[in-house]
Amino acid sequence: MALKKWITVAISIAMAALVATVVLRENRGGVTRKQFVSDLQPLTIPDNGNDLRKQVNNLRKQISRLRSSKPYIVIDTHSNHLYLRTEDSIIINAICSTGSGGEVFDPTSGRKWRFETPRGIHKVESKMVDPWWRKPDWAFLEEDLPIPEDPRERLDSEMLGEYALGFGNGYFIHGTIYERLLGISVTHGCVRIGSQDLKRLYEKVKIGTEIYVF
Amino acid sequence: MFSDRFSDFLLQLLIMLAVSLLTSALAIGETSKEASQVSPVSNTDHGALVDKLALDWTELQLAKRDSPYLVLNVPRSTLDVRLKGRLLARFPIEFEMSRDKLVSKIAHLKKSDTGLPVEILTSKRLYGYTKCYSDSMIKMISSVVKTNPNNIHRYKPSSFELRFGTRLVIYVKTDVKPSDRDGWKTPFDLARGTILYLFTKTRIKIRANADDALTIYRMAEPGMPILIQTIE
Repeated sequence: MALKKWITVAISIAMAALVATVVLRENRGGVTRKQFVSDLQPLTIPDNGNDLRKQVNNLRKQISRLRSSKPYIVIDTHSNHLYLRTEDSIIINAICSTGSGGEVFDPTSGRKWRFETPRGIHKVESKMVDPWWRKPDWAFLEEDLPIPEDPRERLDSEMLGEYALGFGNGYFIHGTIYERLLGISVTHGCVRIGSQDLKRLYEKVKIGTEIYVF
Repeated sequence: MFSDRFSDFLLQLLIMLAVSLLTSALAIGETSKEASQVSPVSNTDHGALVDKLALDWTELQLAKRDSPYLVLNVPRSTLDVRLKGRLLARFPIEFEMSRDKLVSKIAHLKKSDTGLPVEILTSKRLYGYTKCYSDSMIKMISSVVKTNPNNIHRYKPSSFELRFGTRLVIYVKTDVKPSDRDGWKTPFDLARGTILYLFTKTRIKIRANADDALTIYRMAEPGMPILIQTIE
């Protein structure tokens, strides 16, 4: 009888420990809500109705300033879509191809390249018509070809399509000769779109337009 | 002559009086307008203003960060992705419960804490899915572009959950019929799932388009905040 009682107690303790472990692990993994909230600036709520209204109106103004009416580019690397949009409307909705996430390693120099489209906020820095691609070293390593010494051997006039929009660090939104692969993450970090969408985007976008990649 | 001067003086006096009366009337109007602004707000108004304040203040805090955040917009029935306040994506959703029930569930969630309408994603779990591309196509593409096939592998989710600790779970369902299921792998997984189900404070079920759900599932990473908006 006593043994039965002890077994029941042991099982209860084990169950409680399991429940506590699971719940605590879920709530404490990574950034916790408590930690996140405590990192924010403290919010003070005015007692006076007038002050409260004023503060609400002030914050509403700040929020509406964030919602710019100027068009901006959004690149969704998860579904491979590029949008030119404002807060309320989508001006261009294009299927694109973004970075594959693959890697190329050069055993002789020890250099390594990872082909991701850089997330975050960028700006259109340059606009080009009939761009030529100056092949980087990885393009030759990928093909198991020797890296040429003559810079002219690096030039390719077809690969980037008719237009290119540069957004820094050698990344471009450009055309492609592989339109069948649009919608799949196959690029080396640049963003490829179809020729029709590229022409419209080139015409509508100005230098300085914000690009949001997520 | 005197009488003319007197009458002119009287007229000037009357005009001055009229102007001063008008000015004071306008001033009184302004004061009464200000007075109406100062007048105490009712408890309901006060509560609504505090909710607005908490919502906007939290969004401004999230907009200061360099990473995207989600917004569950209950009045518009959308799940938005924002970065620095800019709308990156808006996914229309359907709530699988009445609006009143949903709002009361969220209110209950807020009451129990700081009152800030924000939760932090702790984990996600894919239940059922179907592959977008065949294995042979993935193999072909990966050999052409010299990429790991796993990087190209895509699927459309049939259902998954986004878990925000034990406070909130958002269960997302699509119209996709699953061809594969991510079953419970170990007895511990099963026990974990059951315990978390029992201890979760609020569960919200939503229905979304399969393509949208793919983006939501792929982009939602632990640590990502979600702003819960119940007012416009």
